[in-house]
Amino acid sequence: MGTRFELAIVIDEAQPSEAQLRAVGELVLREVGDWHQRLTRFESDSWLSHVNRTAADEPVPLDDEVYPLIAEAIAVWRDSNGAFDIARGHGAALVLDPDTQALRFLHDRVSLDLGAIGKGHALDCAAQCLRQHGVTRAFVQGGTSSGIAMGAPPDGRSWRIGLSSSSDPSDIAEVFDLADLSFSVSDDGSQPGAPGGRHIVDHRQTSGVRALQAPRRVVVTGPSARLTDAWSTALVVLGEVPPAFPDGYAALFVGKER
Amino acid sequence: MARTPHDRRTFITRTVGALGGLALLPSPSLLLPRLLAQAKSVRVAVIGTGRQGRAILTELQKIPQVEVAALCDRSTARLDNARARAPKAALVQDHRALLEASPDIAAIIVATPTHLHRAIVEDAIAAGRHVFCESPLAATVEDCDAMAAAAASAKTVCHAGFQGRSNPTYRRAQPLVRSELRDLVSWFGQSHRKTTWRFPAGEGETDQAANWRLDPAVSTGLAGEVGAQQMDVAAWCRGSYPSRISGRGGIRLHKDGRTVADTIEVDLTWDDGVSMRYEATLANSHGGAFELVHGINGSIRFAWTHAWLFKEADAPTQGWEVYATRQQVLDQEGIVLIANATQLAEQGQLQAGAGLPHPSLYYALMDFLKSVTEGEPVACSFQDGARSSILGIRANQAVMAG
Repeated sequence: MGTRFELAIVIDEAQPSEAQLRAVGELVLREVGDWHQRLTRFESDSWLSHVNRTAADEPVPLDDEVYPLIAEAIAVWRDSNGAFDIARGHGAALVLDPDTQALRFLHDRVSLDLGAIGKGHALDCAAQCLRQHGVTRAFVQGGTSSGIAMGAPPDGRSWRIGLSSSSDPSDIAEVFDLADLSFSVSDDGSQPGAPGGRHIVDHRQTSGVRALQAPRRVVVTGPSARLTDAWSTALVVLGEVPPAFPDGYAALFVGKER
Repeated sequence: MARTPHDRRTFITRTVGALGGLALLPSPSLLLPRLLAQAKSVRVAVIGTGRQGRAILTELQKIPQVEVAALCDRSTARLDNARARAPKAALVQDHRALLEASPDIAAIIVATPTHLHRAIVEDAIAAGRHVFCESPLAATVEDCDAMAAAAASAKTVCHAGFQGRSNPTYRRAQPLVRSELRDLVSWFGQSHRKTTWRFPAGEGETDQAANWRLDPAVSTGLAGEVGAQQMDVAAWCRGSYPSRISGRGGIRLHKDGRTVADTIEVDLTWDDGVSMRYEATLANSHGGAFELVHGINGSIRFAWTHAWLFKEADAPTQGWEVYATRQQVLDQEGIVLIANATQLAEQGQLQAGAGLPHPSLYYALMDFLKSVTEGEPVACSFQDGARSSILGIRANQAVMAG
């Protein structure tokens, strides 16, 4: 993840004091920080780094918090024909045993990268934490590209999200009104130093990792931020909505096709 | 102790040397320790399933021979949250019921609020269980002494959770404090975080119980709850404890009626005149948590998953330094103090500039389990843990007295 998360909580009369809500907010952001520490591949002492070091040699048991995340990631890999791949081109080498909840790699070239689903997962966990503490109206976002709109803001029935123009960040290109929905935006924009100058790569390319040919911008909305996060990446790669796109989710390609 | 990932990002700016050459520690087993494959499965219970308890569960998942058989907490909400990390564990709300009902649970890991440790630890020792107790051991000197006495008469393993003593990077650096730095000039430690230190009360829990850290009747304050870990590093490296303590503190940010200081400064002085300045705050996050020791031949910066040695220009060069990995840290080139960097890099287990493969907590738990299953010496005894806990308690008293 390695990005900024922000949280806005609506204070209702029926809810605890502002000080207690602030404590809830800090708990939520600590939860996000804990997930970052578990899921980052950039820290050698993270749980994910442990999996990447170990799973080719022996199965790694997954707990009830992580198993659904990996299972859904593999499902999106399958449903997107490999366009979304946490194994960076080696999705077929992931074996997840539903009976033992253990994950293993079929060979030692596999290394997981949860960067395109971890932020959504952390947001889902943040929303769950908020609900556990009685918060029903809030907005939580990470990196301005994924977020969850819980309930409604004080002055309206939905949270209004502006999507800036890719050519002029100060210009709002699209507006979305969301209530009790998650959203994710993926944009195959330029990123110096990334393969082909792009930060999303198509791992289905067989001749090494290559960047997409046509830059795209996609917004996905739906109940789970984990899935909107994963599918927005998949759709940027695919350029179209596949038949296996999940029910209850919506996708919009935003005017960047060329 | 909560670590701040910010530390590593802040200080690692550029890797200067390649990972090639002599290793700085003899065995990679220190970095990637495992229990013996033939070791029997150890049934473990974790008592206290808040944030630290859940972190413990994450580390225990990595150890195949460990079976988390039970979780215990007064709060059903915390138990429910923790169950996801130990799905097969029985859930219990009373630790005495747990000890009576599960004689096959060999090891007890205690991660409750500090002031609740003593009763649980004494009961567990009396029931013949191995015990790992989070630091600080207790909130009062009397409780620390009682726990150390109970451990002294125990036939089981009693391990205090002062993680620096198990951390491979710190173990690498500890002898260098005496050999490389020569005479010490000063010691500095800090923990900076911006947080209220408040926690929302769970269902059926009072706000006072949830926020025991802010209750002066039971809290050891920043000096005890956070500082004791860092002060222990200094005492362990020096092989002795300071004899004089002074302190001060106040409320710099969180003016919400609390009386436990959100910002403190503590001065610790040893009999030989060496002193340590310790600062902790909940009002500013700059720099995170680290310790910095200065000697006449150089300085060592400890940052939990990393440590660096900075040599003075007139200090003699040791043979191993020629091949060591170096990094640019705050405009100075430091020698990375990490065990067997070369061999690990060749095995693809360590990137240049990367830190330890596991958090400090993992190494502390692994030391405990090695003592339980293989009879290894205890890395931090209750006697040492009590001394360092009392150091934190006395420092907190000095802060309160001003």
